[in-house]
Amino acid sequence: MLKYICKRIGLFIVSLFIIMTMLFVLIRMLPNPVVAVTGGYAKQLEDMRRAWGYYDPVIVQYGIFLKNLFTGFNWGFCTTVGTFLQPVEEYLASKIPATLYVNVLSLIVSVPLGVLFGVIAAVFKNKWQDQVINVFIMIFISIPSFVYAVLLQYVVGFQLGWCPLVMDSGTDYFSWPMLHSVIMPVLALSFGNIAGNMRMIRAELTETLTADYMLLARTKGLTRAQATIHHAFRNSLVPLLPSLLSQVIYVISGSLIIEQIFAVPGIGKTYLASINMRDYSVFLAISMFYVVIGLAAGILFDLSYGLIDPRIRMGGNKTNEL
Amino acid sequence: MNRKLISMLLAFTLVTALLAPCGTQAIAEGETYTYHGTYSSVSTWSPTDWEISSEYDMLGYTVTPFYGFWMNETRDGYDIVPELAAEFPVDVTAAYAGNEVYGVPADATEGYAWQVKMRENATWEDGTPITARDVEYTLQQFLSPDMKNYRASLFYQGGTALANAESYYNSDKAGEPALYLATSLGDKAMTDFTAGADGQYADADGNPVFFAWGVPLEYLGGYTLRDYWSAMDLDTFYAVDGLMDADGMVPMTEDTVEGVYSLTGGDYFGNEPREALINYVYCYGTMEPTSWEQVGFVQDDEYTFTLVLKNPSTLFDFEMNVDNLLLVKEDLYEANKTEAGGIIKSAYGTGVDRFSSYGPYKLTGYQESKQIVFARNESWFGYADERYEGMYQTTGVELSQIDEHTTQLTMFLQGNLDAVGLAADDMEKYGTSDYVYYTPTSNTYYLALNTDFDILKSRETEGVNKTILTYIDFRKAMSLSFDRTDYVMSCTACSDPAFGLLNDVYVCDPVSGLAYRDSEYAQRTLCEVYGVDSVDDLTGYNRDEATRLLQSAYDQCLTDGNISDTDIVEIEYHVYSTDSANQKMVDYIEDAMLAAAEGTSLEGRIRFRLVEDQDYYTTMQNGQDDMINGAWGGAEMDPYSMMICWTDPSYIMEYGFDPYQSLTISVQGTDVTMSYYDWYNELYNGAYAIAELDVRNEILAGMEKGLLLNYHMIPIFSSCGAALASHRIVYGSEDYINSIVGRGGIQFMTYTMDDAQWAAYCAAQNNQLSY
Repeated sequence: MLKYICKRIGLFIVSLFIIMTMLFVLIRMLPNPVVAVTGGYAKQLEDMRRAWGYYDPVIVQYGIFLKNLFTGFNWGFCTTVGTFLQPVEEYLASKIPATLYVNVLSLIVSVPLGVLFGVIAAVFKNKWQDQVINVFIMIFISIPSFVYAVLLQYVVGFQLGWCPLVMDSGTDYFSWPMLHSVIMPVLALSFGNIAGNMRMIRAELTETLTADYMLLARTKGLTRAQATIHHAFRNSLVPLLPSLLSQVIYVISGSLIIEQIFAVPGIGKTYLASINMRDYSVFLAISMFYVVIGLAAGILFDLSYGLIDPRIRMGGNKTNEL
Repeated sequence: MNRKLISMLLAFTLVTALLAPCGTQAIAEGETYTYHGTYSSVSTWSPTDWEISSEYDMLGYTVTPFYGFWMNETRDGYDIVPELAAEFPVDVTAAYAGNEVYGVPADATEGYAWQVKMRENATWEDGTPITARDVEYTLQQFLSPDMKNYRASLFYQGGTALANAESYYNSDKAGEPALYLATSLGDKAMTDFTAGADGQYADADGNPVFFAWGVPLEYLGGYTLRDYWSAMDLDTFYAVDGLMDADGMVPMTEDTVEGVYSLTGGDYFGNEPREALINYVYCYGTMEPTSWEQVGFVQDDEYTFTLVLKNPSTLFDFEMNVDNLLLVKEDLYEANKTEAGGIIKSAYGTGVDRFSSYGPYKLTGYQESKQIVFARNESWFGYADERYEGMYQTTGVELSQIDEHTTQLTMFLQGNLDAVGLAADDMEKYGTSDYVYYTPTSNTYYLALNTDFDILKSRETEGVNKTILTYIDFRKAMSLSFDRTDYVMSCTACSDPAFGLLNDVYVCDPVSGLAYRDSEYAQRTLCEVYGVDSVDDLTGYNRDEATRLLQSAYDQCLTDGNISDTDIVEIEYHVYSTDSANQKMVDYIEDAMLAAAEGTSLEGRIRFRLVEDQDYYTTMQNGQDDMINGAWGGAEMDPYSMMICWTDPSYIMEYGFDPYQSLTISVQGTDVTMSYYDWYNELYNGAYAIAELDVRNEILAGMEKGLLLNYHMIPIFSSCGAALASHRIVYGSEDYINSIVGRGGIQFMTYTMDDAQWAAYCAAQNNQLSY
């Protein structure tokens, strides 16, 4: 297992380096690394570019970049996004908390609810409970989140006046006013995930509940609830993990539209802004942030398979068999 | 007893009255008036580094200009009032005439040196007095060669360029051998350079010599040699241009000498002699550093300073331009300096603790991408100054960054915002509201057409014709084919039809406030272009004439063999986004053209194709499309400067228009002929720059007429902003006055309800207000 973990970490570092190199080279090969401006300020920007070595060969630039990265965790400076010449890492650090706050809350809501309703639907398969849940699954999956966002904002926020229309200002994330202000964006983000989780759990659990070993468990004297919880439910969680992986990445990346509608000062719209406004240092840093999260999450979830299902063993040379 | 009580009451009243502040709007204790608005992205509001208008708007709350432009008593113009300055500036040019350090001409009598006396009771928000030393420190930061601040050019270029400021700004390069303009290094001549075996010219030390091919030159009024491409043989141009390096330099060789001389020795450059090539040469040298003492700033005493300018300025221009001199607080600015990559930057103006106010409000809260909060700056001198009586009733300002328009509007309807901009889709519901305010902008939108025959021909495909765009009758038919009034009502939120290149917002006489469009010459131009007797009759629409012109253009095109009798005329219209608004616009124009073509040989044979192109300006500049929606705006108080947009090769978008073609304008009864480009230079920088208003208007109108009659630009509409103001807001003026004072801004804004009353009012309506 340890060998497997070391191997995965090693591959993680190699993958990271390759992706970072490709990104850096491709970005620096693009024309106009600092967006051009009309008017009388081109000279100042030109001076800045020169001072930061933008006219050196790409390999030299990459060397400078790596040196700055490994000696001072310096990702470069903002040009068109954020404050001019503000360190990128400092700028992004101010954007991540709001995104994490809203999206982690969304995960906290969507995973248990999705699992709960998925179990109910499976247990009551083809009964009215299952039918009702299926209707909601179809609605939640087929309608994009920004539609819920607008509806929630208009009905719950404006007509009923139950929640603020936008996220509260400040960073007091554990206060009631802040929590109250993000109820709507959290719900808008959660509906799709809840439906996805419900559908998956329902499908897996329905299949598991009819497996031979469930019959064996029941014949050994376990109640239906005991057999479902201890055997069927645990097995049905295995395919949920890859799905959670994508949800976790989604959580980190944030939602551009939801952030825009509810005025969440997060990283989602910053990423898009860095592309539109050609701030390549910010773009590179956010891209690498996503790559790290994605690769790390992959390792984490691969390892956690073993905990969820002891039959799965990592790193062996031989085929694992039951 | 009663007499005693009355006496005590009188005494109390007297004491209260004496203690009451004498300036600004009287506000009862406990009353607060918080303005809730929105803002777009803000990165820095440092006076030396701000970039976009929303950042400058933040400074508007927190600084006091030297000279304020206040809405006048009749609420139809403005008065200029000394604010941070104690009195109006004094022209002290005579004292500096002949000064060799500052380079003021010996015969100069006015406009070069202006003395400003500052008020002595102005302070920063922490109570520290503001003195002339703060002005000096601020200018040093603006022009710092180590910092390369974004707004540095405010003080080395343009109306407030200080003497020697540019060389001070560049003094980081002094003392080291580097490439310099040869003429800046003393007595240099072309004979100082000799060609080596490889053909490359070098100086006596063997250092290579270059032509400043793509470098803006003061000698050329800030333009590059490369900008004059259309005055050269294209093969020669490309041969030289292909040698240009990333710095805009072209090595001096026999070939490039001949190439450049083919331009400078030609008619456009007045047949300059070969020796004059030295004006375009860069060679290695060492420049003497410029010290701060050589820059045109003189501290006369603790509260008085003099600015010595590089170029003379009128009183009005000085008062207006010196307002760019927004101060920074030395201790905070220094404390927030950091060095990275050899560049020093200050984070001043990026947080509450990194900024100091000296205006009516101070910053008390800032969360990036979320919220900005201002409160009254009790240290501000204006609150105790009777001149400000009745102003600044607002006690606090809370601005939120809300990007989504629907969210903004919903919050406004709840009573959580005091103003909201309207989109086109909102106009049906709110366009006639009692609370809607329309604000004209200076942007005039026009159809910009590609008129270059060769490139249009090269873009034609089988059965598709584009070269008919080169026929002026076709372009004029486009102009006459649609009703601009109907167009703006059908396709825009609240715009006005446009007939000229400059709209009603432009003021040609800042002192009287006269709008250029109201001048006799401007009105006559429009009447002559559109064939009407009075501007009141302008519609720009004449379908019968458009039909006649379409047939005429077609016949000529057919005769010339440029179109077949089955070809379809396809006009590729590049837009930033193929959204419904642009689709509606192109559909409208296509329908109008098809209607005009009915009964002609082009009936049913004209189509427009919408193409999404986020770089559509550049595409048009390269001639790779047929039509775009062009727009220029800004410089509302200087319409003459706007001609650069349509006559300078580096600005012109409309491919195929030659700004070096001749234009004859009757100036005060005398016909004068020169190129469009030269007319602009003469009007803005040359002989007519200081001419009488009437003369300048005559020339401007003449240039506008010449451009409009070429029909490569067809004005359509002038944009206008619409916004709703909340039930409790009262602007200083119901009508928009001009771009300087608007409706009076927050200075003159008043409220019919304080915050508590407003909250109760909104709650009584279930937080669903009706507009």
